[in-house]
Amino acid sequence: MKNKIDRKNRLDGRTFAMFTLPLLLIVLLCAPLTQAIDAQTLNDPVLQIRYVAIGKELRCLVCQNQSIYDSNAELAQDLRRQVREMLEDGRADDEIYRYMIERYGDYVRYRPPWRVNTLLLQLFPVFIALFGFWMLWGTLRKHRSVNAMKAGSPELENSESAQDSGADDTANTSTERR
Amino acid sequence: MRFSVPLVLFLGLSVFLLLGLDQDPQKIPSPFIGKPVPAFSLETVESASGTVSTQDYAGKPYVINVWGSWCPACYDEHPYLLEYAAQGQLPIIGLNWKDTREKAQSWLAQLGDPYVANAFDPVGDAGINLGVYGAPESFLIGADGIVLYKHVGPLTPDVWQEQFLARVQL
Repeated sequence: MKNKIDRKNRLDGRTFAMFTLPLLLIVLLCAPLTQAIDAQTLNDPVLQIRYVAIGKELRCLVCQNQSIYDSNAELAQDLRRQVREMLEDGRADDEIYRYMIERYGDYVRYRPPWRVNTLLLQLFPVFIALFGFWMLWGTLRKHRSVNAMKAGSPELENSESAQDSGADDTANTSTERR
Repeated sequence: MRFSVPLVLFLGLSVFLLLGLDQDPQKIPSPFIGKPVPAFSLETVESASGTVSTQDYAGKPYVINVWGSWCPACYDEHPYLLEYAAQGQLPIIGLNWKDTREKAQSWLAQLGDPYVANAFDPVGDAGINLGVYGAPESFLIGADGIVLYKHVGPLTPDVWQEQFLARVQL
């Protein structure tokens, strides 16, 4: 029994050294790759911070669902260069966004503006949430009235389950048991 | 009655998603349509001393075709461009995008040259200024310099006939 455990442990140690450890190393070494390999940085640290922030706000148009900061696509590199040049020119963030939107449309920004044609997009989550609350409220109210009826008058409950074939299972079993 | 609300919601969502299937997320509408084309003046593919300018072509409708020798879809499109050039209804200006002179020149020498002029944009800034995000892309410019239409992808005969020729009085 003891031998068996030892052998098993030794095997696990070998698996760890030969397989798990290298795998772990590979995964950990890949961590920096989640950012775009961008050799270009700006000398001014404040500009660099703005550069990164703007890069994360702009959508790469060929590799959609990546920002130009995340992507290594050629277009993303070109757009990053454009942003860098504009920052070095002393342009404001707004100017840079406007420049990109004029050329690539609202789509290039991850935060779409409030316009007539984006109202649905902007308000839809609110509607969904309100609808959810409305359903929840309705369901809770129904449960509370069913519970109240159960506690109050058995006759009412009987007539209800006779009328509504889809009544709660709990209501049915409780009438049967009585 | 009890299921009518979820049913309506389900059907609504289904129709919405079904319509979404037909949309190509790679096709992004150009914000330039209905607006003046951003002017450019660039060296030609043929030589550094030549210039191509949008001003040279003002007054008549024309097409700007963005291409590069690195772009397989441009290769597919090329025979069509030669056809349209032979018909001579709309002049096509090339915008050679992110390419090298040697490669672009040998492309034109080997495959034929459908362009009335070919602008050379090795860095890609002129393309970005036009909102180009890939090749091939084609812009239809009206006689007044207004962008009438933009097509992303190869300029097939259907598109040429129905979207380009049909939009300009010839």
